[in-house]
Amino acid sequence: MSAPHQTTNSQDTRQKATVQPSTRDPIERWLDVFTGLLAVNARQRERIRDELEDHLRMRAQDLMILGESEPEAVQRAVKELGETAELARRFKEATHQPRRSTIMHSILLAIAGTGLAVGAVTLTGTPTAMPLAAAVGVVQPAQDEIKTLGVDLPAGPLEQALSTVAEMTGTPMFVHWASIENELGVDRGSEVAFIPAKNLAGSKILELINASLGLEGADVIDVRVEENLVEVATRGYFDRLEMVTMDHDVSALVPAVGVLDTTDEAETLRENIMLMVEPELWYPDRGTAATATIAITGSRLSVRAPERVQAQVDLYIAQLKHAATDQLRKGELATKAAREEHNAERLRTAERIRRNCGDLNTEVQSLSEKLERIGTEYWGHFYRSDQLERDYSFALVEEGADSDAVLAQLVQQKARIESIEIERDLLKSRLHAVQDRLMQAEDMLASYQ
Amino acid sequence: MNSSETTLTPSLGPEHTELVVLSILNDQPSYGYAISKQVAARSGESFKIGPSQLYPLLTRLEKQGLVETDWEEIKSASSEPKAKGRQRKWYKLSAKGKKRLASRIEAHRRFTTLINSFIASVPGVEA
Repeated sequence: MSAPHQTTNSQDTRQKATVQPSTRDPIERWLDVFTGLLAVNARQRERIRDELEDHLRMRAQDLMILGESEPEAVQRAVKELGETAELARRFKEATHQPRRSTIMHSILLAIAGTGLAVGAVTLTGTPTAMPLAAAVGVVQPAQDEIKTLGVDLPAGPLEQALSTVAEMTGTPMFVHWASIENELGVDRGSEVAFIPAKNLAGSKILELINASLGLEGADVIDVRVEENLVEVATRGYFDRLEMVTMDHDVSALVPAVGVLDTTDEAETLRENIMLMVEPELWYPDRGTAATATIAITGSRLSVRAPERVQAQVDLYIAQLKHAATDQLRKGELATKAAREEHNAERLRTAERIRRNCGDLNTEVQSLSEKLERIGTEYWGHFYRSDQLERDYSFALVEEGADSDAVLAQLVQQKARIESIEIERDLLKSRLHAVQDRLMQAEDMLASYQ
Repeated sequence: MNSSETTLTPSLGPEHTELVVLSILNDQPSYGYAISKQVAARSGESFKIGPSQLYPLLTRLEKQGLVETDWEEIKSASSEPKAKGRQRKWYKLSAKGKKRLASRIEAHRRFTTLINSFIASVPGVEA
């Protein structure tokens, strides 16, 4: 197939985007968070990202044509994608298809008619907070497809109970008695109590059969369906059969180190997975189930475990990545808040300096006006004094002139001039000081802008 | 019957969604956003397949071999000649997809015929 436009195969060679939330646009930031939640391999993750980016940009463009601003358009386009974790789960469901069809409800075989039943497998086992069906990544049957057995199971040997289930569902059943007898210590004749199975789903019936036989944890009877055959064996038997090795990318959770190096964080992650995901599989002494192994080198987590467990590991890692992203987001918000507070404080300080500059300017203006007035007064007294000196010289030689009176006026003028000079010097000194302070305040204000 | 019941808009269940998407791809190759717009346009906005429904469905169809895909590089007029463009994923119905579409259409027709047999003679309601 070829696209109607220019086509490229450069997809595989493109560099994987790195998380740089502060510098990327909102669509890229959302895609960073979303792809962090995607429990698929790196290649699939990048392709899903590319496709959703195309959708988001097209949608935002359309919304902008309809009159929305760019931020509004982007926000709405992202919102229309729905809840991020749910979308990631749907992609995971669509992407993962188990090698063997496994069933939660063996009775589905009868309902499906074709034997193409699908579902998840855990019929009993260690309770876990994780939604296992989602983790296994299989298609869940619609609620109305889940039917019940229709009859009760009378008390009797295990073989009889299983035969009744097979008979009622009309599906051939093969029981691996050797695995059950050798690993679980029960046999065909082991007594199963009466089970009111008439209205129970298959998973519950098997759970009750296990409970009736005193089986729990990893050491239980389990079932698988393939084509038109139901297989019954121990969980350990199926786990050994479905053992695969997979690599999981944990670069978002452990520090970057050399390919063969490991870190304390990686070791903690390894231990947490062993504790949280089917612990009995990693610690053989806890049960007779298949032993899984786990190793971290660099940013790669290698897990050898049954397929169903691989999916749980994937989900656990996805949850941790989500938490890490959330933590990063919270950290960014805290940094942003601190930055905003810092900026607000700078603005408040700048405003205080600005007001101070205004006050100093007013003072400079007032002092300058006073100096101007006093200067005018000074020169008035100076000229008057100069005149009196000439009058006094004239009065000394002029007969009948009152030279003493002129002298008295002259002395008075001189005293006034001296007083004005002192006041003027004080004003000048004060003006210079205020001008210095104003200059410093203006420099400081410039540094805040 | 109250007024709200008379104005109910039909919604697409998973099987019908697949049927609609396969039908659109049977007409011509398309990509996600164009498919969602076509669904809305051809149904007079009555049906809408949201991205959270559409893209996982397309992923599943591809996984099942019902569609073939190809990538196109989209460059804006203002971008540098050597700059990498956006990637667009195109879908085209495969031979297996055509068979699935035929079987879906057949199942839908059988279903519609059955339902019609019940409602054809309901008194007081025009056919």
